[in-house]
Amino acid sequence: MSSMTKTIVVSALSAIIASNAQASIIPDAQKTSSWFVDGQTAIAKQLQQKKQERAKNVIVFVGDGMGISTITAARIFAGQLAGNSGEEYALSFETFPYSGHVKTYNTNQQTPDSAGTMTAMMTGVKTKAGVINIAPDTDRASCETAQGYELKTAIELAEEKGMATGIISTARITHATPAATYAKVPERNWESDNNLPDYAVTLGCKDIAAQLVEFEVGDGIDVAMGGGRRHFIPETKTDIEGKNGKRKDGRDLTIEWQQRYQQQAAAYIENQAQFDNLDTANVNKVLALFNSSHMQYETDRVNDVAGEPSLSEMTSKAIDVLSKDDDGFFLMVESGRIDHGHHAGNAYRALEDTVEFANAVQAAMDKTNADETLIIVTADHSHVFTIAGYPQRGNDILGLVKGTDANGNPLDEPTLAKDGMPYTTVGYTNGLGYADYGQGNGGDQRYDDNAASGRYDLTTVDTSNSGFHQEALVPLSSETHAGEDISIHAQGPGAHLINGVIEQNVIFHIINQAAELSGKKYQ
Amino acid sequence: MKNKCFFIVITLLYAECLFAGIKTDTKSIVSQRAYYRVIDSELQGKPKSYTLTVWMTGNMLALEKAGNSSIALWHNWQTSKPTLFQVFKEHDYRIEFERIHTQKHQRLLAQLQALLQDGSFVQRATINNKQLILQRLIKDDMVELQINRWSDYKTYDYADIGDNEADPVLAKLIHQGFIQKI
Repeated sequence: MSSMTKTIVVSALSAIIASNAQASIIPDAQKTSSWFVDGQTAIAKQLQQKKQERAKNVIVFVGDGMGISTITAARIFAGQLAGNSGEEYALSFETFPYSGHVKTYNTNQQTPDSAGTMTAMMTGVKTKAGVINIAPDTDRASCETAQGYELKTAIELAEEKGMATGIISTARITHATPAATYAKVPERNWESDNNLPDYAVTLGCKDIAAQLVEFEVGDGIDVAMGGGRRHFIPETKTDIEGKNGKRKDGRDLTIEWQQRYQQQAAAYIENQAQFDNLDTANVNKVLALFNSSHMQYETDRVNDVAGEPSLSEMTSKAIDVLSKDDDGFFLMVESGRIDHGHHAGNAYRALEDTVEFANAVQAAMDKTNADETLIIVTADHSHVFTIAGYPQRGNDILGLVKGTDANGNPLDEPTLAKDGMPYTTVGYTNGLGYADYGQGNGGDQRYDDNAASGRYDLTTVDTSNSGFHQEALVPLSSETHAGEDISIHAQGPGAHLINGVIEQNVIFHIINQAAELSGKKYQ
Repeated sequence: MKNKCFFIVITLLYAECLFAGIKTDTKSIVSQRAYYRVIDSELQGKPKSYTLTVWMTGNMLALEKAGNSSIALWHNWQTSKPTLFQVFKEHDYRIEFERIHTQKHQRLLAQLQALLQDGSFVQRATINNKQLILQRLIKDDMVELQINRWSDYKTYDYADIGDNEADPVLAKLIHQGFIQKI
């Protein structure tokens, strides 16, 4: 009897036994409930899971700032966009069979930043906030103390093993999270040489963009897509969207990259049209820099000057390119602007980018074989984003709280707080606070106005539009990260290793075990 | 309080769009700085006049109020996609607002652009009942040098502020509420 057959038989027996046992003790109203039946189905599905050990491919999805409250709200948001009440909806990665909680603190901060957290995931070692792939022995922004403490990343191990490698981000490709796949710097802001101190240059420290283009391990990173063009071109050069570069050393790294790979099937692209024309069947190296700084929020993408693809489109094409390698591939995909939507206090954009992030995961699920590809979905840290009050089932997740009456039936009017004013379900503990710029506006526009903490009368405000910014308690010029655990979800070989509450650095070891990046398993 | 005065002035400047944007040939611009006396009869209990300095090169335009530590600086100011920086002289820091192209910024910039006629600053202008009278006009290398100096300041992108509170100077600016109407 094959293991597959055994599993099915065991599952069927379990279901029959459980069903028979329940028949005698569970009331009909209970066991015929759709909740009860769905619960049984969920258990049966879990019983059928087979543990697979060896992953040919690894895809790590990181929702920057995608805390658990963000996932919950995005799930409801997506469900409501689909015309349902929302709470019952499941984002693509929420269907994965394995999940756990992750402790995100940095070695020097209770509430972390992306540099330290992504270093933990990519190297297996936690470090300080702001530090990328340098052990915590170093001081932040100290080139001299960093030397000798550089850490090797999963992407380097993958390249050494002959795998194809790729990184995608809707943030600048030199931003902390994507940078932590390939660069080693004691200061996350050293994205190009203009922010690199002279003494650091003298000591041999290199900026992040230069490290990407000069990446020496294996045959170099095969696919890199994101924003951040300004860190690759000289300050004297104006790009296709009318923005100048940042580099003071006069180097044009986009040209250097093309020269490096001129003997290979390589493509450097900057806009949607070039992306659409990318011949993934015949190209092996791709550098795509779609924006001067970060790429657009998903809701604003249509307004981009030169046009840029969505995260799911980038994910899909990257897999097309990378999956041609028989040795397998390692791909990191970051939704970088979930974090920025929250920092600006704009839940709409944070949630819409989270939904698009889930679409990108779905694209990867559709493009790969779950028997050979480990897909991990996680975040680097959370945000002070809350889901509060007692809104009735199906209440607009971005709307005002409308509760239920004494009999549990939905009320038509918003619930009023002690100050006599209605309040939204989602909100922020700190940040810039309330603003209403109207549909299609808002987002980073919020930084253009003063902080407005506390309560405002929202009676006549459409809080569901993209230009609405939620109220905040503590006035800050930017909403902050939060320190609670985030979640991790996985499917494919090695996914079963994800369980319980883990330290963030364990994620590296799960990848290493499943893909044998170091050449062998731990046991 | 000085900061507030500055912000009020600029808010008033862009509150009413009196001038259409002027497209100027970058090559024709001579680096210069203009000192304008602004007479504001509507300011009650505050000084009725103050000095604004407009710094201008081919691709940079800066606006400074005397005594104010914060300067507004536009890169590629003659294009449809200028980049705004807030410069903090006392700290040698800049905040870059790469993607903020709001209507009010466009109005403000259009009004500042309108101060330039035939490659030089106008003598007088009235914007929203505020009189601007040119006091001094200096064309020298100092303009280029000063703007280049500001451009070398440590720069943070507005979207990255929340990730950099460990920087003590930035943290101080955050607590001052540095993101104000420029």
